[in-house]
Amino acid sequence: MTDYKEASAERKAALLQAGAKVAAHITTMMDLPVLLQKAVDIICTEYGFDYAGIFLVDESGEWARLEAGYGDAGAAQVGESHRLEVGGESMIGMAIAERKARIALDVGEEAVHFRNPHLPETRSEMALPLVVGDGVLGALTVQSTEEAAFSQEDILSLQSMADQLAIAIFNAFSLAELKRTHTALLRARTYETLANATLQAIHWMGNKTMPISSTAARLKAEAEEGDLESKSLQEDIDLIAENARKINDVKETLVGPAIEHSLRPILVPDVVQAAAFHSGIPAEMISIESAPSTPFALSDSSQLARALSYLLKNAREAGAEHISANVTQTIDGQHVAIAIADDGPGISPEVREKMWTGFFTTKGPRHTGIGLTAVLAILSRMDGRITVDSEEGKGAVFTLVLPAAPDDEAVDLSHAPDHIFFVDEEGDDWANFAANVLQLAGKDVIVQGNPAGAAAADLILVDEALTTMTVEQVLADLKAAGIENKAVVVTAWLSTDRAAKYAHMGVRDVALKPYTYTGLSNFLNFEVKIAPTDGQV
Amino acid sequence: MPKLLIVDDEPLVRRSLQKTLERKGFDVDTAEDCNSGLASFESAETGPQPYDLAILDLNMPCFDGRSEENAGLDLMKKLHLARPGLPVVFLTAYDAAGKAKTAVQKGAVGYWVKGREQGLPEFLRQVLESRNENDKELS
Repeated sequence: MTDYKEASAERKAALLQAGAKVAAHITTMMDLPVLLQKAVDIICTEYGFDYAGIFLVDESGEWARLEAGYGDAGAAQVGESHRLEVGGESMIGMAIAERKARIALDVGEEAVHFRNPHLPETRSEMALPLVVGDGVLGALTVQSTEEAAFSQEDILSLQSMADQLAIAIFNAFSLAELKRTHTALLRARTYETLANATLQAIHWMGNKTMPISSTAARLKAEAEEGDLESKSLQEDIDLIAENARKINDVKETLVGPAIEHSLRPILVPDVVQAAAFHSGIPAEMISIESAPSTPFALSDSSQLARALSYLLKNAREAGAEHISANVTQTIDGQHVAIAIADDGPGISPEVREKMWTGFFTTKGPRHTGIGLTAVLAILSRMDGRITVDSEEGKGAVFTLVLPAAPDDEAVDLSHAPDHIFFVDEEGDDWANFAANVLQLAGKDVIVQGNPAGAAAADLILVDEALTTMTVEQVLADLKAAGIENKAVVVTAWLSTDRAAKYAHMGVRDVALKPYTYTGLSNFLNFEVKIAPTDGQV
Repeated sequence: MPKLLIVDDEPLVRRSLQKTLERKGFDVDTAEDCNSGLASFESAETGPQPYDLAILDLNMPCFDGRSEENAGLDLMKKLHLARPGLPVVFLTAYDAAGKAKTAVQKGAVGYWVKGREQGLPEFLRQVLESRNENDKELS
């Protein structure tokens, strides 16, 4: 009797230990198919069973479908969509219907003959209901090729494991359901927004084009009748010009310049600075802060600068006297957040509700109201997002969140020109980064706010967002010295018009600023390749 | 009166730009594709008044008749073969810095984006004036 008790206690302890191991593996799994398959595998491994399978009740509630099974037998049965009737004669069907574990053994007076062709060696089976609260999700079958492998005493230990499995399945199922619901909701919301935006766009386009076509038709008739009157004609032309300007604004704002083919790591504060510079925001009106160790963002710097430019100009037009841009890493470590805060009048809840919709504006009839729509579109293309926080009278904070770029790696810069001259402010973050890297690579580097003395350099990099003098002045000085073809204008915001202008002034290239070791290496490699020969200088 | 050639496959663009530039004191001819543009240019070269400047679209029917997004560059190449130094300005819907750089590096004196063409007549005037000054210095 003592031996039996000891053996029984040992088996109970072993089963509990195996159950704990199974629970430890499965409780954190949130992907339902993965969870189910891992569960059957771990159950067989930890308990030493020959087979385990998980049946889940389908939506009709009448059938329990095999969702995962151990080994080849399991895969074959799942492939055959094996199912058993709930409440039927099967072990699984009865365990589910009665919410009670069942054992079948191939021995003794009530010997059961197992007939599953995929599991011909089975001699013992236990079916455990998967119960959560008042509901039954399905049942777990565990099988052994040993006769009388299970006893009634085992049920308690195994049912405890099955209960934990049921909770894990329920959690994963709930999460999957939540995701499905969220996706459906998002889709419905997107359709609604698109439909709404399209209606708004049609309405807006109609209002802008109708005066053009009707005025043109009337002018034609008046001209045919020789009835053109100067004052009226002037008014008509103004009307056509104003509406044409608005239509063009929509194209410029929504589409803008060509998009970079691939996103690249960017130094966000430098892009904010470029956006402020090109938007005409005075340096004293904006402060840009970046938390230490903030990673680079993965972004299209020109498009991000466009989006930031809109937000900065908007804040200024709203009456803000100061704007602060704060760049930080998000708590999850996977993103970079840019908080643009202003001390303007703030945004009312009613406006906050409508302001993301295209063609909504509070700025009056001269504005198109698509700036924020464009910002949303730009961020969406870069897997980013934007939120706003504002109270009337207390300013507004727009927070842009972008994916963080992977860590950069040091690269060989020996191919870079030996003497590089930066026309940039001495405290400029980008110039400091690039100059330090090049100095570490043994290059002779000068950073200076004007191009005096640049003639000795092999390569002259001119920061377009220079504040000490204009790029045009720098290029004129370089041209006067006959060294303009050593110059590359570097910018965070590449514009077609400005690129054409600088190219026409004879610079070697107009390029996006490289922000990483790899980017700098590729950039210098390219600039060395396209460098003019001595004969051209 | 400076003589200009506009080559663009969009009739309304050709006509409105022609009228605008004529109003600003230019003598303007138009052509609708690379072949007719080159033919007009070559014909004028042997006539009493060759063109002083060409305004080209970028995307238009190329010499083989197919629409090509850089057809204007091919036409510029042939115009420059016929007369090196001819000022060529691109006026295109492509708002792309890369295309602008390429066009200028291949010899264009300007790259303008349609919809942002305000100031084009003044730019053309500047180009022609600086060209005349250079010519005077050389002579």
